[in-house]
Amino acid sequence: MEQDLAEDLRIHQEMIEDELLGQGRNADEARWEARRRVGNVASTLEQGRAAWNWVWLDSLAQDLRYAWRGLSSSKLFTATAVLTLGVGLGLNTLLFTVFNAYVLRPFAVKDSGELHMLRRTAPSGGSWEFSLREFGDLRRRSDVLSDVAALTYTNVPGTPRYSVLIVSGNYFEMLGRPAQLGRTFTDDLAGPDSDPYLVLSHTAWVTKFGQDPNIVGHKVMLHGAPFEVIGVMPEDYAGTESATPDFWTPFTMAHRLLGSSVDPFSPAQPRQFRLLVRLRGSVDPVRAEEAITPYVQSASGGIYEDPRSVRAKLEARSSPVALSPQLLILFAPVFVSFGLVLVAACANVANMLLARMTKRQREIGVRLSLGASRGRMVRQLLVESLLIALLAGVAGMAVSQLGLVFGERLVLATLGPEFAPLVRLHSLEADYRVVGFVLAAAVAVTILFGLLPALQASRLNLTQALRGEFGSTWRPSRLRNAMVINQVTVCTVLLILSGVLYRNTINFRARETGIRVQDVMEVEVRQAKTREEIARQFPAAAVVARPPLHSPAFETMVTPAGAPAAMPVRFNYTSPEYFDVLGIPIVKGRRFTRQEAEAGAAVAVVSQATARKFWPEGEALGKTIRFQRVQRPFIGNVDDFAEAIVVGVAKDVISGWTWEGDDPTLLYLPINAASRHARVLLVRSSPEALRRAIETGWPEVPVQIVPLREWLAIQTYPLMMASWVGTLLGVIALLLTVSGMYGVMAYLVSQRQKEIGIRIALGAPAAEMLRMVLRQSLRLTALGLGLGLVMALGAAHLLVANVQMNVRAWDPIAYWLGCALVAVAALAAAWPPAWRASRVDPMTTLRMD
Amino acid sequence: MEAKHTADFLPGTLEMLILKTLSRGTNHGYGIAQHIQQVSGDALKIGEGSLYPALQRLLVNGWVAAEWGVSENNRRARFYQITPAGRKRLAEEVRNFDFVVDAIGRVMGAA
Repeated sequence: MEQDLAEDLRIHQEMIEDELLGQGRNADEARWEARRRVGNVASTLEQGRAAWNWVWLDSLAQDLRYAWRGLSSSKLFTATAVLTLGVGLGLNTLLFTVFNAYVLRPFAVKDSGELHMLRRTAPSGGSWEFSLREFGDLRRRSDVLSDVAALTYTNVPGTPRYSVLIVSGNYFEMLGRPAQLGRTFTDDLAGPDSDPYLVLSHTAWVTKFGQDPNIVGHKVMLHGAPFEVIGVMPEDYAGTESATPDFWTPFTMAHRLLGSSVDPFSPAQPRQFRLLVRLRGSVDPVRAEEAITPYVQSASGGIYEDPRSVRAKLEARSSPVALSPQLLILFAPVFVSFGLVLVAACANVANMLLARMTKRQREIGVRLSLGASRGRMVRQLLVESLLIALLAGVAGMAVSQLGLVFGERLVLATLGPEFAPLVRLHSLEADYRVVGFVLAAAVAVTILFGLLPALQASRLNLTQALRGEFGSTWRPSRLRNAMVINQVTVCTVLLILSGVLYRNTINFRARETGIRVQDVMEVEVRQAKTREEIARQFPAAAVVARPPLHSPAFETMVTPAGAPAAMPVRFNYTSPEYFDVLGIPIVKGRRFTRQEAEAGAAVAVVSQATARKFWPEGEALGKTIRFQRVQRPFIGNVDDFAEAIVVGVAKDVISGWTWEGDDPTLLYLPINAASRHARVLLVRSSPEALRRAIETGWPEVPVQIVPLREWLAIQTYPLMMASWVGTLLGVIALLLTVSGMYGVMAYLVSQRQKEIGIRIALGAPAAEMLRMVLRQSLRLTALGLGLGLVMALGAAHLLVANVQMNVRAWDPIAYWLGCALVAVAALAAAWPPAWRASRVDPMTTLRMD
Repeated sequence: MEAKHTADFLPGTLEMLILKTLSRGTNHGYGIAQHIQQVSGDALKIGEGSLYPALQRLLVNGWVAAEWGVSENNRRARFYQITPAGRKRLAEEVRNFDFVVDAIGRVMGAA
């Protein structure tokens, strides 16, 4: 376009020349006259460009070039700024990558927006899953649902351990995803007795089957049955759950994996399936809920006291976790903590920029006096900041990727060797959303750290600037002080909070459970006969229905003798050896005898707390407890006997959550290894010995051995993890504070060098200069600490209100330590500049100008 | 400067003059300047420094289109042509111009 214009002008000039020649002028004269009339070609060209708005772009490119030159000439400044911001951006990108993977990125299936999970809810609490009969009925609701799939998750223990999603036949068709290798299955499934088969996930194919291209047709042994691999799903298909299972298998094979007692096709119709529904086209979820609710109510008769209060509830399932206001509120503290570190990093870079502006005041002054407009100046400085931010964005991407790899390893390494295989992480790769986030964040922080310095710098007084002085409106020190205070606040809050969390975790972990966890191994064995045989092999082995320390035991309703009404009590079925293996003393009476356990006698042992609750004044031994039957979620019914006699009182222990303390109530009922309630073996042994024994004696039994100790640790693991992440963020913020404080103090000293020199020359003691600088830093630190303390107190109380874990918010040691650490670090950062101030040589400084 | 009276343009009138000139047929830049000068009896001399930026503005707004061609004396030149949108624009400008001139005339007449 510009070339066209230039050419046009040249031709125009020639035409004028022709005209003049025609009038009889000589050639030289004509050329000269023509050139005069066309005038300043360059200016015309520029005006032409202006018409096309190109000046803006042109000068942007100019600004970029200029900024690049400026940055590459001060490499140290650039590197420090890019790294500082890069860490801040990287941490936030990491968080966003996780958030994106679980919440934002939709499942790779057809029309993921139509997918919902169907639940039934009731005001009395609890949410029952669905039976196959209910699944069949709901599939016919074509008015609002275009399709329904039933799914249930199970693990097949062993090495390697496999996770399996048992699904209805229409699952893959409904999601519209074919297999990458082989085939998937469809709705017309063969009967339960046909040869079993499965579809492999891409991840399992790669990690557990070495990406074998001939995998289709191979057999995988699951619970002693050979399952044929019929297909492998594509890499981008991660399923419709938060974790990708290793296999999908049709529900006609459920009985082979779940055991015959929970066969979905049995007349008992166990309710064990979750329902994934696809809404019909434009149907509103609320309307669909209303349409299904009457059916759900009619089907819930046997399980709820008041079926009319039951509602159908649809939850969006376009990604593993649906985006909702509640979710955002729950995770707000995490977002805020990460964001604060980024703010602290921005403060640091803003500080560095301010110092740099001060050095560049003469340059800025010259450019302003040469006619650069203020807006242009601000833009120039902002472009420089943007360039820094974009470079930092690139660094941030690298930091976040490294952090994710490291974090994943750390999680697996700290979970305990037996637990790690149970954990499945969703794929955390960065996609275009993550890149978009980094770019947006880079632009946003440019405003955050670049705008104030740029505005400040462009507001200078010309005549003073040319002399190398900023005018009286130039007060960068106030701004810089505010930034340091902000940093001190941020790291104080983070360090105190992670200290509080850490101390709470330690406190929970140190709590005496009263249960011996050392060397006690837990094994789930489904077959009664094998359970009996293994138990007989070991001198100290017990069977139990619900192993301790997983979660609190279920409750049942009982009426103790003499009590006016039924009351809930936690209960568990244990063999008599349970008390020996776990070292729980019987304080009164006796434990069950082996004969009672064999016969399923109507006897019970109660905990001390239970005895006190049931019979506050009287003797518990010999009293009867009558069992009530109720239909209510999370309330178990004891149907072995109508009433039981208390034969012993056991010492109170913690068998539920450690943060809950001693079990408020606990009722032990007798079983033996063959009982239908028995599920888990507790064996006192080393994990190796137990594994060897089972592998040699019962090779067909898949075993997953977990030390009880690891269950105990896993309870407080999330809290521990939160305190680690908090500490990491706090330490990074502390490092930023240290460098920020150092920068501000060093700048202060270098600026006031003349004054300090004069004061020393006039006889001020050097120590006084040292104190002057330290006092200044102390003032900033004290302000930041004060703010931080207040905010930490508020945040800790918010935390306690939101986390149901009996966390203590006020922990003097955590508060004192946090504050002391920040104070010491801040003063240490101010020490070198202060020392330099005390060593200023008056003679040199006075000779400086 | 040969001409003693070169009229100060009201802002925007140059564009109108160019559009008017082009409404009689396509022309190149030199031709446009020549035409305006001749028709106005040398009263309006268009400086090249303002002609070309004005042409660019007209191009940006889509009121004229440009095409390279060959001039009457076999010279390569860029020919400008008025577009339908340009004609509409011209009509508007003429209306405004008439209105303003009329108004000015009345004010001057009253004095």
